[in-house]
Amino acid sequence: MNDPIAKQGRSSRRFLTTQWTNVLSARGESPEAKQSLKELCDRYYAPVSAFVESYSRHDPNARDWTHAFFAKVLEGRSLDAVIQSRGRFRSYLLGAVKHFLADEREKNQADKRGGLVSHVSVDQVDESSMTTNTHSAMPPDAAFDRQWAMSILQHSLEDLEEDLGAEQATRFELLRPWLTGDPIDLSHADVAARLGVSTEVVKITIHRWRKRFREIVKGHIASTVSDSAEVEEELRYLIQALAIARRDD
Amino acid sequence: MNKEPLKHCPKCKSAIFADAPGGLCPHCLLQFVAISTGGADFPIDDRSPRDLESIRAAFPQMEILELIGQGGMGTVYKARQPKLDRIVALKILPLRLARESSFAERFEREGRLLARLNHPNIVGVYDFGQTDGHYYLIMEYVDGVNLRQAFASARFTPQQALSVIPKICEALQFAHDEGVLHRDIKPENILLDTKGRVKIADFGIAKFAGVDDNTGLTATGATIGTPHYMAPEQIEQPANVDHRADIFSLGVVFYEMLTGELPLGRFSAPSERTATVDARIDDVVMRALEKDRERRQQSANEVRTQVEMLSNSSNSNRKQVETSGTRPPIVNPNASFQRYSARPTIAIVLVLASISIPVSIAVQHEGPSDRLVFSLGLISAWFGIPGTLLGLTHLLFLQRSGARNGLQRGVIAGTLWPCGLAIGWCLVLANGIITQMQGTPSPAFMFMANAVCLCFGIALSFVGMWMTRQKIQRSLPDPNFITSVNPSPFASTLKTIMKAFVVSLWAFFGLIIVYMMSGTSMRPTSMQPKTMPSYMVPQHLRLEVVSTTTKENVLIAVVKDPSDNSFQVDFRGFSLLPKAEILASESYQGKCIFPGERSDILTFHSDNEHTLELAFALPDAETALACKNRMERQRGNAEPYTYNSMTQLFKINSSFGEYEAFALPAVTGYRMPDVQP
Repeated sequence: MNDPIAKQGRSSRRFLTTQWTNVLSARGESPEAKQSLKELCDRYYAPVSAFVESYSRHDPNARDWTHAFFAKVLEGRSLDAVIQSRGRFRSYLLGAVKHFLADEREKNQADKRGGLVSHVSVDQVDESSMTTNTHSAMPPDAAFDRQWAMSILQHSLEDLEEDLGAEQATRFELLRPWLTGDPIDLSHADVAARLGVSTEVVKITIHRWRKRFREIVKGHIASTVSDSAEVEEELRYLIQALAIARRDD
Repeated sequence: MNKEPLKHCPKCKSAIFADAPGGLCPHCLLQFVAISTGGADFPIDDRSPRDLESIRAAFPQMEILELIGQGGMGTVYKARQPKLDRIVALKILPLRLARESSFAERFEREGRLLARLNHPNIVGVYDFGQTDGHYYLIMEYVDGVNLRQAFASARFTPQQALSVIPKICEALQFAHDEGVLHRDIKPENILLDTKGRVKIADFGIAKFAGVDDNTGLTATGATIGTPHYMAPEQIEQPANVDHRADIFSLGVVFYEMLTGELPLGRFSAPSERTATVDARIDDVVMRALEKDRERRQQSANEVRTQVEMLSNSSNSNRKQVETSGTRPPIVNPNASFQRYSARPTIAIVLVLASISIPVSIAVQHEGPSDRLVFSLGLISAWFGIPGTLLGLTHLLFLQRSGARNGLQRGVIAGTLWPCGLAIGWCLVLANGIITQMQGTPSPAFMFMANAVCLCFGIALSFVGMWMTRQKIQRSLPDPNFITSVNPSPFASTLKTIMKAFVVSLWAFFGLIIVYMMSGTSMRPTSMQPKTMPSYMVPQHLRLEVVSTTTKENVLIAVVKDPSDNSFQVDFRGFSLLPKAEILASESYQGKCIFPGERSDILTFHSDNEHTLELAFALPDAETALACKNRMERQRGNAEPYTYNSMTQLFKINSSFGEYEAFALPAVTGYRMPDVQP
């Protein structure tokens, strides 16, 4: 039987073993640091993209801006000023992208035409916000947070699947719903029958996978905060972010 | 999301979109990660949603409605207390705390302290205790979002931040005065309700969680509170933390409100981060964030004053605000708690006017005529109906909003009229029953009966008002709100005077009504034939009506006696209170004698000229009927217009109609033989 725990050594390579602050301070000088930085950017491409999309109100150039932002981060020359901050990577990245967009806007406004973000007077706030509400379902910050949580979950699931290996793929497909708790519409016995194993085996497998998944999620979160004590809090924050997003749906 | 949902989560029923990881509900997935973390920090027993059943079992006196939040400091449920019919928040503290040895004592001590914190901007603690091993707090339920959620939905504009911060300061100052520190000010603990009110939650809960006064650590060794919001001294030397630590945390919240970021490391001033922030706000924020607490604002009130000064001046030159895409959160500075509301005052003025204006008119006129009664009714309805409706509207508003301003006035304005009607019905009914039983009772008895009925009715209406007030008060969140809102001695003195005034007004109205009612009920007895003329009348007395004129509502008749120097005019049959006046005409040379204001008979002595002017109050319907009956009786007689052979009844025509008067000679000492009807 493939024990997922035994594979920890292999899988942890994919985790960013260093804190994000260290990754950024290294500024991609060594090839390893470069690789870490690239990986960090890959993982959180989606939230940044979601933010830019929402912030620019689905401007066709949003993709280009996102690319430009990451290019700048990868070059390692950006955002030195913020690096001393010991907070969370999420806040940091959000701050960075906001800075970046503000800079872009200034550049664009030099020719007084079509800035990235239009100014709206106080009197028009309600009206304009209503139109944006129909246009994009979520405010940029919320979209960012939601996408952030989704990315962490997405990568965690991928990591778990990779951990388990190809031979467990069908089992994973069937047992995946249990990761959200005991599903209402499925029972251990049904799945056990379909997999041809005993109910106990199914239960134990679920238990192990849950534990592993939890470790993976926490590992991901831990790499984005400055202090391991903050993991729980960040986790709660992300749950809340998803809850808010769910309400906005 | 612009996409269509693929399916719905079987657990939380929310939509799952195509970008959901593994096709699973991301919220449930992440929540399960948190829930099933296990270990000492998050025991499954008090965090699992399944726990709802055990909580229900532990709190049978409450209806546990739903789980509304989980955090490091416990689990919060929305619950209803059926007895009080109020929604509350039930906070169950984590079991790991309860396992600590000194917890029970600390919980007891702190709980009492928290229950004393009674402030509109502080989430009140109604009760606390322990049951089935659960340490719990019953708190005010706030329907709204916390500041963190508000941040997530939109960045605050500087104006919104400036409107929220003073309210937080007010609450903090109040608590600090009571000797309570919050210790964990952060956006999650600042709630905005649906009416835009700001409320601080979890006051001093950090203390429950066992911030040891010596180490600042819990028994398990983890720091309590949220590091980013904690003042430096709170982390470094928690032993001597004072209220200025809360001011630091407030500064962090303020900074985050303005910039959307935390003030970490060497942070820049808010105005450098966000162009819309007024540079003057920087001073306030940066001072609150001073590492050395001596250099911070020394009280929450100081922060408040500074912020209010800024917001007053910045209202005039407001900059254009950049919006990041959504409605701003529900923070309306005008929707804050109002200490005074004009609505119940207007209502009570209308209602009192509806009573006092007609009563004062009626008192002046004494005997009310049909026309007067009708117009008085119109006046009272004109003021009374809108006043009552306004009062009732205000009561509904109070019940809906949970505010308490003008409860007393609202209750009086809303119930005075309905109660008055009830009193009226009471009187009519009682009079009807008495007349049915006793035929025509004596005036004294009627007076007594009416007075008793009236007192009963007034007592009943007071009970009704009191019950209404109690009912509304019960539905409001905080029974001591009124006293806590109006602490100044001047205001309470004013209130006492107002109360005394209202009570005396009631007493006055009561007396007036008794007076009028008793007069009305006695009137038929005074019209009985047996009290009619009982004097010997010389045959030769014949008065002549010389002329009649009307002056406003008064009929003036000039009557002449061709023979005698002295005679009497009987005004019975004209009005209840014959306030007849003798207006001296040029031709009148004599002298008039008023035996008394309430007498029905006026005596005149005239000399040779025998001409005088008489003024009559206009008769009311009842009197006119009595006159008519008497006339009918007299129609059987040979001589019309005479009561009997010795009484002269003369008829006066005027623009008001036809009236009758009796004239009798002023000869006393002889008893007249009984008059045959």
